[in-house]
Amino acid sequence: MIEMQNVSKVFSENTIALSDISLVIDKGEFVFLVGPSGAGKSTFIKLLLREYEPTSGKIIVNDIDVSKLKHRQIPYYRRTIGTVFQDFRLLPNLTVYENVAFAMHVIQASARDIRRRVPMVLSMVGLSSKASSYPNQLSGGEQQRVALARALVNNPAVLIADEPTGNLDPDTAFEIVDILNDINRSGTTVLMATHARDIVDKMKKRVIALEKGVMVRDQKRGAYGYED
Amino acid sequence: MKIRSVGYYFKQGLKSIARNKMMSIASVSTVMASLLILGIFFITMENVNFYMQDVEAGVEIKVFLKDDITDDEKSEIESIAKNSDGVSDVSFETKQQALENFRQQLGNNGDLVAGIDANKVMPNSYIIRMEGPQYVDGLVSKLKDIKGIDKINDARPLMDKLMKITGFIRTFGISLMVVLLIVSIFLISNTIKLTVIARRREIGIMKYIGATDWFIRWPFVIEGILLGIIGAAIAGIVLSYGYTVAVDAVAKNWAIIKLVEPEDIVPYMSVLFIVIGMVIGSMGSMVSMRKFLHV
Repeated sequence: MIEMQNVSKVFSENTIALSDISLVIDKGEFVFLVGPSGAGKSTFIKLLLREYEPTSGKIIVNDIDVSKLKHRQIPYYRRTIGTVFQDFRLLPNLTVYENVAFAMHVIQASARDIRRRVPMVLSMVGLSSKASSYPNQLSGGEQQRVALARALVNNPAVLIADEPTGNLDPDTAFEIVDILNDINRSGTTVLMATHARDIVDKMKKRVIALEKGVMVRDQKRGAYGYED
Repeated sequence: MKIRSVGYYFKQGLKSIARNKMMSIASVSTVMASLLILGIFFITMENVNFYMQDVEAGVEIKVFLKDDITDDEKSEIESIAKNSDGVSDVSFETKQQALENFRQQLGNNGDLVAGIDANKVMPNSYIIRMEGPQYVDGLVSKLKDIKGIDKINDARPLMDKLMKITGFIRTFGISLMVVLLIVSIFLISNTIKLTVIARRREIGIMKYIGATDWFIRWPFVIEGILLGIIGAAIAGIVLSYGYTVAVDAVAKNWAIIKLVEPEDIVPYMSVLFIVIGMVIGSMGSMVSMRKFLHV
């Protein structure tokens, strides 16, 4: 599903963001990506989203060699990946329904598919009753659920969550992780970058730890493992 | 470009124009100004060409006679003219006819000549029509030594002058227009830059979701084209109306000046304007996107 072969990313001579990363994440796995700030988590994710190209090495996602993608192929590749961020990134002038529909709109889905699919995804994240609210009328947890719905609405094979609970209180954070877990159980591969020790320790999922651009640990049913 | 997204592109484009009202007005105004200048230049050139064709088609020499010309000299002029190459018609115009023709050329202002005594002011003349300007020199050289001739007028010096003037108008008009078109493109690209900045967040999200470059670009292209077309349409309407009014006024007051009929210029000019408006608009949006929209 996701495979990295000796991937390095060097920004300038002295900044090595990632160094010689090799790993395989299978279809349907749930993986935590942990490490202190500046360890290379963001670079890792940006490489997967093909925002960056690796300096060396090879990245394969869903049998697509990501580093060989042509510029015009990138949007079609990104449609196979759902993404959520710490800051939700919702459009403030659109309602919950419109925010989710927007994602289908952007990939030029038919109006019929949009009408069918959006309510379905909203009910998956438990927001059917808030469909016509605006983001500023929602709590942080609800906003992140909208972002999740938007990431899922186009049926991605992989869901990448970059610190999805970073702006949320612990209870709400667990709600979000529960939804991620549900999504994972239904077959979607989930990769979550996080600082949240309690979540990682409780979930007992695979943990990949980065430090200064180097992969220091890859552990099945792991724990956070840092004293920070 | 999928049909189902066209509505979205237009909606976004129109929204942006409404959001950046001042910049949109500035862009539309410069497009309008440059096209107004282009149009005035275009109309002038059309009319000069029309006039030159008219002059060339009916080259005319006017031979003004002294009052004391003898009948022998008159018949000599007539025979030289009639036997010369390229002469299609020779006619004699009396003082009274000359005054009458002049009065008619003045149109509504014909009353101006009411008190004038034709015998004192207007000369008798021969009007010799030629088949083309190339015959004029030969005839003039044969006639010029006849004593009873006061003056020979032909259209060539006037045409030379006209050529110089049109050359100047052309150079001046084109330079001015090029500058204004560049300003228009620059202003449109700045207007669109504001939209790009206002929608930066949205564009970022669109890229993560997997929007193609063109899906992101189309609303901006349409915004630019709309700005261009609006400016072009205003300029087109103003000029079409203005020219029609001008042609009417000229026809009433100076019948001597013949202008191209508005219906021979307006449709042609409108198409030209719309095309130029679209080109300026899309170029403006291309410039702003290359610079500000790294998709």
